[in-house]
Amino acid sequence: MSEVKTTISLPTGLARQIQEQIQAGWFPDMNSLVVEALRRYLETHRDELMERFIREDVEWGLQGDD
Amino acid sequence: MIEAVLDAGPLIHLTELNALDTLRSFGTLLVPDAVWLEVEHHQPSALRHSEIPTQRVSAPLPSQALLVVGRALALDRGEIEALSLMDLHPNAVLLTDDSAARLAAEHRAFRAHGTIGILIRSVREGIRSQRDVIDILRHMPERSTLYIRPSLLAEIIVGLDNEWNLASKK
Repeated sequence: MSEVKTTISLPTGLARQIQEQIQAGWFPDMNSLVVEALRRYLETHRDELMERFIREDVEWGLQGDD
Repeated sequence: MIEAVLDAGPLIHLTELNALDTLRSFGTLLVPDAVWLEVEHHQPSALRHSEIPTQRVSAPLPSQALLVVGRALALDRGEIEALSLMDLHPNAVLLTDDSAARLAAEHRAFRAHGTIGILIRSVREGIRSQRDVIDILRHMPERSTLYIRPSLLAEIIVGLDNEWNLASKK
């Protein structure tokens, strides 16, 4: 997939922590860190997310108004 | 009637469960090209159900923001096309069983639900009986490739049994 650009807004404190990580050499830039963070979040929370979504499905199936 | 955009998961899983008719209550079922091809390869009978108004459509090119989210969440082409189609139909519901696609949908403020929700909703829509749906859920582990932790599935079945028994007593 080709590279694309987007803009995100971060709380100042979080942005500062990210810059510290980049300056310490853990990540080459902010983009790499954000992409890696999202990937790791999904990897570590996949089962948890699936369970939450299934519970939401039950609720929608029973009580939804559409 | 509510419009829906379909990912491959629900089409494949509902076919495995012989419950494709539960999609009948959706007004239009939009199936993006990439999803259509995926289902045609894995479960072609899902696209030949006479009662299900599936409509093959070309998805628009994904936005840059969607490509970034798609790359981060490792979404496949079908999921990207389905989400891209949702950009054109923001009031539709995305039907997917993929947690990454659902996370991306949530990020973009789209409604998204999966096979379990579709099955339970079919009772509300008068398509299937409560007993039918309980039976389908009970046999899901041996009939479908949709994996749900056994204890969670058992909990859902007990919950539905209670809910529907209570409802019938009112």
